[in-house]
Amino acid sequence: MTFLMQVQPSKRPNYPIFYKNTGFGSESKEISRKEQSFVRHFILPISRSLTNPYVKFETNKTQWEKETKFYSSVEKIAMHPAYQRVIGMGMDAVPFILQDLHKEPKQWFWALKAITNADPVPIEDRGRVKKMASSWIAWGRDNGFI
Amino acid sequence: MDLSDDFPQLEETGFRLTSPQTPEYNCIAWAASEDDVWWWPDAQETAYWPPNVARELTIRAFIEAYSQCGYAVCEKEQLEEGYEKIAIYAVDDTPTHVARQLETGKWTSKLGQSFDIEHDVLDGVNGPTYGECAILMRRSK
Repeated sequence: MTFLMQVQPSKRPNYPIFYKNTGFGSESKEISRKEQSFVRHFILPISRSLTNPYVKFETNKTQWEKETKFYSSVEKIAMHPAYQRVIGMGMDAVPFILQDLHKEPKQWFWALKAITNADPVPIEDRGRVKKMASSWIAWGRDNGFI
Repeated sequence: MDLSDDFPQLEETGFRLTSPQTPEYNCIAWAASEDDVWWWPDAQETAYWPPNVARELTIRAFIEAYSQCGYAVCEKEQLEEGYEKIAIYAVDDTPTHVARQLETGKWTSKLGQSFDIEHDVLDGVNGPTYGECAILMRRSK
């Protein structure tokens, strides 16, 4: 079954958000697929997407991933306009970024540092993307984002 | 998969995919034979960079980083018995990419957050994204 991560009431978003399917079996996959389909169907209309943080995040993430996939340069990855728009979302973006890191570690660390002014990654783990993601996810739990 | 926008010569000069897509390491680490870390001299210090090497986006800093792995600047891209080579690519003297020579004389490149490829010639990944080879380095095997 798909489950909603526990979010502190003060930081709980007031828009639809879905999380990783942790269940087993075809029924669980089907329910998760339908849920995601429902969420996308609900939020995709332009009138909703203009103000919906989830859509803003997903739209910018998709563009960022597509247009920076061959870059090694952290600056080029982080200075991409779509990435900067995610940073511009401020704290609204943090649960989505952490959720995305949970699915697959990627270069969200610059954005997380810029938005939160925190850095939970030990110096010896710098560059170790999986460990960096784990540190940030733990930080997110400790601070009520997930 | 269309790579022609970023690497217009790749299809013609020959290449093959050699790994699944992964964001866990980049070309700079891959050239140093590491596949679990992202190397880059970013000012935010989110990536690994060898200690005691300037965190600056210059060819000199990249040469110094690989010097710590035993590499020294060389002239020729051709395969040389007893040596392994790397090539630092740049756009307007700004490093963008590093490829490593294989025992066959072909080159291996990790393409950013994407997959690894084996390309037949050094110039295969030339183009708007990586520019062209600016420096060659070699070390004894």
